[in-house]
Amino acid sequence: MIEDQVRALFTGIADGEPAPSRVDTGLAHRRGRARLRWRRAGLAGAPVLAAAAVAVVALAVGAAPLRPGPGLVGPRPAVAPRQFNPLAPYASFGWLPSGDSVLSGATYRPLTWQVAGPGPAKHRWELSLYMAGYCRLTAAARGLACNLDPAAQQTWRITGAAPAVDGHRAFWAGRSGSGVNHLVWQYAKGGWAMLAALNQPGTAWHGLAVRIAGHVRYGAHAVPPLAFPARVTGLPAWWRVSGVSYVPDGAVSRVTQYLMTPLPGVTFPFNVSLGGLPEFQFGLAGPHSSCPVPQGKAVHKVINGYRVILGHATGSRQWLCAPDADGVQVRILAGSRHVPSPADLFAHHLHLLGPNPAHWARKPSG
Amino acid sequence: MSQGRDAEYTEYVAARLSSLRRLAAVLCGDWQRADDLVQATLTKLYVHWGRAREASHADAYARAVLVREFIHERRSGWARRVTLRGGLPDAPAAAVDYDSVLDLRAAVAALPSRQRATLVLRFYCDLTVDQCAEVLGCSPGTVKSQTARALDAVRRSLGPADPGPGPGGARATATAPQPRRSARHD
Repeated sequence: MIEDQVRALFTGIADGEPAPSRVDTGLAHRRGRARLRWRRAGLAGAPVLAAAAVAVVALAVGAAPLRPGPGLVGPRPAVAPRQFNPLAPYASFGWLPSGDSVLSGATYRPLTWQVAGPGPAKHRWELSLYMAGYCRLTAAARGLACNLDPAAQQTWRITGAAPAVDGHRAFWAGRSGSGVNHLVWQYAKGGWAMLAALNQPGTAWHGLAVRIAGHVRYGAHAVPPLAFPARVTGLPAWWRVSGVSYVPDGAVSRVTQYLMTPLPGVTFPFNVSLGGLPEFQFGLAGPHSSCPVPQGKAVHKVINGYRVILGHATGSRQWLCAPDADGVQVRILAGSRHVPSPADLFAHHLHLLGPNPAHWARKPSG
Repeated sequence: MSQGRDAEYTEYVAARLSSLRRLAAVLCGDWQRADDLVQATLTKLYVHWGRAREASHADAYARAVLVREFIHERRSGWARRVTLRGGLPDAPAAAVDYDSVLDLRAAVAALPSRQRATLVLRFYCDLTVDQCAEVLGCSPGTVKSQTARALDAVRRSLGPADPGPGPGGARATATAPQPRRSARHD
C-alpha cells in the first residue's frame, strides 16, 4: 500500500535525529513585537517590556527540559543516548588486565564498541554499548533481547545474577550455541552494555569482567579524537557518516573504515551489502601493498595518477582498490543509482591527506 | 502584549519547539528549510498569540499556521527561485532498501506543496478529512481529491510496481540484527 509507505517515510523523517536547531525564539519574539507595533501604530511602544520578554524567552527556552547529552568522561550517564554519534565514540575501556590493550573500536548509531586483548588470535574483551531502547529484558528477566525490529531480535540467555556494576543490575549471559560468555549490565536508564569474554573458558574471567565493567569510561571524549585519512568533498550536504571503525594510534584514533549514508538515522546500517551506500576503507600502505581481488573481472586503471583496480561485487555494487595512494591503501564500495560510482568518488570526491595521521582530518567530509 | 501573555507564549514555544520542527521537517524534507519555516511560524504565532490561546486547541492553531506558512512559502516566486532542486532530506527512514526509500522521498518531494501538506496532515498528523479541511481552509472534498491525486502522482513516479515491500516487510527481511563483527560470537 502506497499509503503505508508514505506514512513510514514521514515517520522516519520525524523520528530521525534532528539537525541542531537554528530556530531563534528570541528573534521570533522581537519580530513578532515589531509587527504588532506596526499594527498598533500610534500606541506607545514598550521597549523595556520587550527586552524583558526576550530575556524571559531566552531563560525559559534555556530551562526547557532537554534530554541529557553525552556527559564527559567519568561518571556513568543517567540516561542512555537516543543514538550514538559515529564521529564521537561514546565508550572505552578504562581499565584492562595487564598485557591487554585496546585493539580497535567502532561506532554506529545504535551501538558503539571496543575490542581489547593482548593481540590477534588470543583472548579478547569486547565491550558493546547499545542506544536507549535497543535492548530489553524479556519476561521474568530470562533473557536480554536486542534490536528495534522484533523480527530480527537476538536474545542473550541470562544464566545468573552478577555483581552490580556501579550500583546497577548486572547478569551473566550467553547465546545458545555461541560458547561466548557475557556480562550484561544497564549502564544508564534505557541502555544496556555487554562485555564479551572471548577465548576465556570457565569462570575465572568473572572477576576481571566486573572490574572492567566498573571502569568503563563514558562520554563524547571517552576515546582519542578520530583522524580521517581522507576527506570526502562535493557530496550533497544530507550525506552523513553513519558508521566509523578505528584503531588506536598514539594521541588519535586512526579511522580504518567509514560508511556514508543519506539516511543518517537508520538504526541498523550494519550490513552494508544490503545497501549499496558508499563505504570507505583505509589502511596504511606498505612497500608491497596490494589489493586482494575477488573472483570476477577486474580492471586496472590509473586515476589522478594513482593505480587502482575496479571490479563488480554482489548485486549492483562496485568496488575500487588503490593499493598505495599517497601512502594510504584505499578501498571504496558503492552501488546505488543515487550514489556516484567508486571510480567517480575516488576521482572527484576523495581528497587524500597522506600517510601521517597528524595531518589527517577530524571530520570526513566538507 | 502583557507580561503574562509573553510568559505563556514563551512557555508554549519552549514545550512545542521540538514537535513543530519535526512537523516542519516532514513538510520541507530537510532540517535547514524546516528551521526557516518554524522561525517564520513562531513570529506569526507571537503576533496572533491572543487568538491562539483562545483557540480550543493551541497545538492545532500552531499547526495550521505552520502548514499555511509552508504552502504560502512554496508558492512564492522567491521560494521557487532559491529552492535547490534535487535536494533530499537529511533525515532518516526506517528501511534498508535505500534506493527505494530515496525514490519515494524524491516522489513526495516533487509534489505540489498543497498536495504534500495534505499527505502530511493525513498520514503523519493522522487528521481526519474534516480536520485537514479546516487546517487547509478548503472543503473536505478538496482534501479527498488532493490526497488521491498526490498518491497517484507518487505511484506514477515509482513506476508500475510499488518500491519494494512495505515498511514492516522491508525491515523484517533486510535488518541485520547485529553488526558484522558479532559473527565472531557465534
